[in-house]
Amino acid sequence: MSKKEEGLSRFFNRKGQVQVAAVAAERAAASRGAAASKGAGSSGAASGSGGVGKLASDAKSMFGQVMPSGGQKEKTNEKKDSESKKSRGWVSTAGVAASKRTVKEGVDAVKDPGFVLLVGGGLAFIVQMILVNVPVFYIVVSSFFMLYAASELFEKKGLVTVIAGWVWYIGLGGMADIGGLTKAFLPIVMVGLLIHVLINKVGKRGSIGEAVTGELLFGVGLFLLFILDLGIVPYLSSLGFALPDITERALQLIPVWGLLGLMTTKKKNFFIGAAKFVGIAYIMIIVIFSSPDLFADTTDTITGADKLVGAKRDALKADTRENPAITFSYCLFSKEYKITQMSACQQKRAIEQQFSSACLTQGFEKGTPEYDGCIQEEERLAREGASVKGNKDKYIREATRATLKINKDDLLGHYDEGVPFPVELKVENPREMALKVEITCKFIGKGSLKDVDGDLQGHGSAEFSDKNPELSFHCYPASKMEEGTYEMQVNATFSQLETKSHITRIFVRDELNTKQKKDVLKDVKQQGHSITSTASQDFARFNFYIGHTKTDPLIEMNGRKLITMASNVENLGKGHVSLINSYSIDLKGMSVAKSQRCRAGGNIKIQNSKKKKHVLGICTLDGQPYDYFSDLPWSPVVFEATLQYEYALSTKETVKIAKSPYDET
Amino acid sequence: MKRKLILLILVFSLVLVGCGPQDSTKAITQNFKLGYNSVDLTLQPNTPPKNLYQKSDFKIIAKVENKAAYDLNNVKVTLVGIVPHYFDIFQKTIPLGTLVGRSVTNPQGDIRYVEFDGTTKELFLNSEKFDNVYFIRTSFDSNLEFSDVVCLNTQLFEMDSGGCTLTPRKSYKGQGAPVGVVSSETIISPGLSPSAEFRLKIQNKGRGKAKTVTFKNAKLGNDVLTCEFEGALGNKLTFDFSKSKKKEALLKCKTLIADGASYATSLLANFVYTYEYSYKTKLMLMK
Repeated sequence: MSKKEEGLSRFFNRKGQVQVAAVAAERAAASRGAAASKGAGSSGAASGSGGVGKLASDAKSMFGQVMPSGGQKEKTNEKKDSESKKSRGWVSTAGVAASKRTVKEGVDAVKDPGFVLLVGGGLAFIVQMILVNVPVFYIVVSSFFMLYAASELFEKKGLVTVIAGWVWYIGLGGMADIGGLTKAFLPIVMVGLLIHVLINKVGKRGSIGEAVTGELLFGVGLFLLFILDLGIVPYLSSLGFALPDITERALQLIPVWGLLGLMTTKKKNFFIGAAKFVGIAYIMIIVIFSSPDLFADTTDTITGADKLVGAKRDALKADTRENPAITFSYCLFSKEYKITQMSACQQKRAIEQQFSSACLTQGFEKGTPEYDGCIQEEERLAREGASVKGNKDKYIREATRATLKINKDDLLGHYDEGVPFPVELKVENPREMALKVEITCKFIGKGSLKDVDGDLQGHGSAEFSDKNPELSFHCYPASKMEEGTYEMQVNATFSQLETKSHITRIFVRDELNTKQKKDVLKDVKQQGHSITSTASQDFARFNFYIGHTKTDPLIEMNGRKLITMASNVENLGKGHVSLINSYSIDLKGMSVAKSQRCRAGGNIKIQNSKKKKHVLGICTLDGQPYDYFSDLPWSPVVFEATLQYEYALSTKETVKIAKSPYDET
Repeated sequence: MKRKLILLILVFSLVLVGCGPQDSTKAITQNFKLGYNSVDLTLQPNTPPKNLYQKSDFKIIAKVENKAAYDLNNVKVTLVGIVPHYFDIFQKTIPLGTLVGRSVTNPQGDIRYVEFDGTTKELFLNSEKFDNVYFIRTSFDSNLEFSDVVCLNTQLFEMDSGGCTLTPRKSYKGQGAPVGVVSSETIISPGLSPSAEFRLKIQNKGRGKAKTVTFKNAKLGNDVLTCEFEGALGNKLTFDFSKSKKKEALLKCKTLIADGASYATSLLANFVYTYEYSYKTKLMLMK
């Protein structure tokens, strides 16, 4: 059987399934060939080619299948043969042939390094999701793929650089900031180049140009992919260097080696086609359905493999969002949403995941009525609580704020025992609150440098109550700092902070009709009360509302509408609220119908420092405030809330430690 | 002698002139029951002071004048909109009873002073001040009398029907109260039992808010008219301005009239209305 005939022996049925009947086709070649050569049934073949030929064409484009020219007629005949063979009891023979062919294609696929990377990279990625706490696994696997790609995929181009880089980075615990890359990594590339050129020369294997191109292009490229795969993106993100969320998520969720394999597969058969199809579909889903977020400024640091993998592990652990591919699959088969409502389905799914995570954290078991109740409560809280807004009080001009600064000019530049690293803290405390601040400092080593703790020697905390205190602290390294680059991190935690917010609501005795309400609102508007709660400009603000709705300033005492209250704590400063010591709302004699959590509470640690608002609760109120006078046409009542909290500020600065001049002498 | 005579004549002339009719036409001819005068309210100087400070006492003293031509009954002065979180007012409503309206014997109308005592509280955190816009609201009920002379003529097609000419539509310039009849319409239905319908439009023309107008009685000459407000809900004798979307009330009065030549007769209608007037001002609590 010729290659042409072999190709023809495969065809696609209407469901798109591939059927192979090579041997059977060979046995029937004579009779079929005769029929085909005579052109008998050519019209029938032409009419049949419309359906089968189109499917074949589709499959060709999908799987890279090569269809010989003029194959349509033969294919139609082949189909007829196949059907006739079936009727003659030849099915079993055809099945054996198909199996053999499948095995052959499988073996062919495995011989393609691109396919190995594609499948292996994908599988390793899945295993990594399971073994998220075993970073060694991923270092080993990623190292293997890097070396495999250099050796098999790129035919040893760049292999020397890759090995040198690996030895330097993993074996010797290579370290660097971006500057360090030029100092340490580039010489390694140069050595790799030299070795490769020498090997080529001695072995007469290729030109110098090929060697240089190979090392620079493939060697450096593969090594960068290796670092990327280990988790450079989440690591940089954890340092404040954040890419757009869509990019960060995509890089986090797409297996780098799998992607390389996808782009470099050479052979074309069913297995490779199917793997490519799955790979492309997965990447498209990730790219299309990862939602964009915000990004921030940057520091230009990278570090050792353990930290990268650790960062990736932390990012995967912390990211409670569902893999977009799973979300996509869920929404694709969802009965609740049509395919055109994909976006709405995704949003709902994301919110559900968030609630589920919150309830599981609280100790509820999935499937129990308590869990369902928790989900409902979380939904309500999120809906009402998070949307509560606040504003700054128009009568308060002075804000409470603080600036934490490491004065770079004051840094010594080399380690000298007993010489501190100064830190400045300027506070604007217009209400002269009695505040307490605790400072901690640390030096994070870059690359192989070990982290060094900072010691503030008894001056790590301060108490003050003046208006504009300017404090300075001295951070001493607790152990010797080596030559190299550190990142000095300083944290200041303010405690005993208190802020208040208030909201004015207009109480009327009875339900008002539209005209009456309009008349009252006309008067009320002249008073200039804010619809939302207002507060002083502090590090954090307690937002709350009381009323029939968030935006209605009128409360009808004898009406049928419920009086609702909801609240949240909003971070307004550059740091984050680390602890809510206590919060309470003075309801002036009104009572909370159900949950007390929305009126008062405390001792809440805020785990997610990036969260802008922390929802506290929602409840309904009963009774009437003692400030309300029912004999007045309308009566303004001010409700006041108090929040006591801790607030953490942090700053960092890159510190380069040079050799001490005193050591030389 | 001549000089003495001239002086005597001069003195006599002066006496004669002095004893002549006084020029009191202004007092006598001033019709108080005209226009849309109402209650007037003003704050006495520096009560309260422009700036108030935390934890201090203050007084709000207002002068209330009745400039209407009728007595104001159940007069109450109330402070509305003062935020109790910042200001404590001991008595928010002060009743004044009746304020006599302007008349020939009391052309100024009654004047009263009301005094509210209060204390300030503390500002919110480090606020620099707090402005509290509030209203001194005077509420009362009062009467309204409407009178006119109308011409009735059942012989609409006669060229010369007698002594007067029917005026189908008339307008008025108030009856000395903030609420008044602004226009009337006379509709005669001739026939075997001829009748007349009078449509009176009542509007609030004062600076405050009319709440209700209640029809008391109406007479055409000596005949009592049957009246009701058009479009009034429930009680047809009371029109509630605070609930209605309409800005004017329409009172329809009907009666049978005698057939014959035209004649002029009096049309009288009495109403009671409730009203409130708000004076907007503010308290400024300073740091």
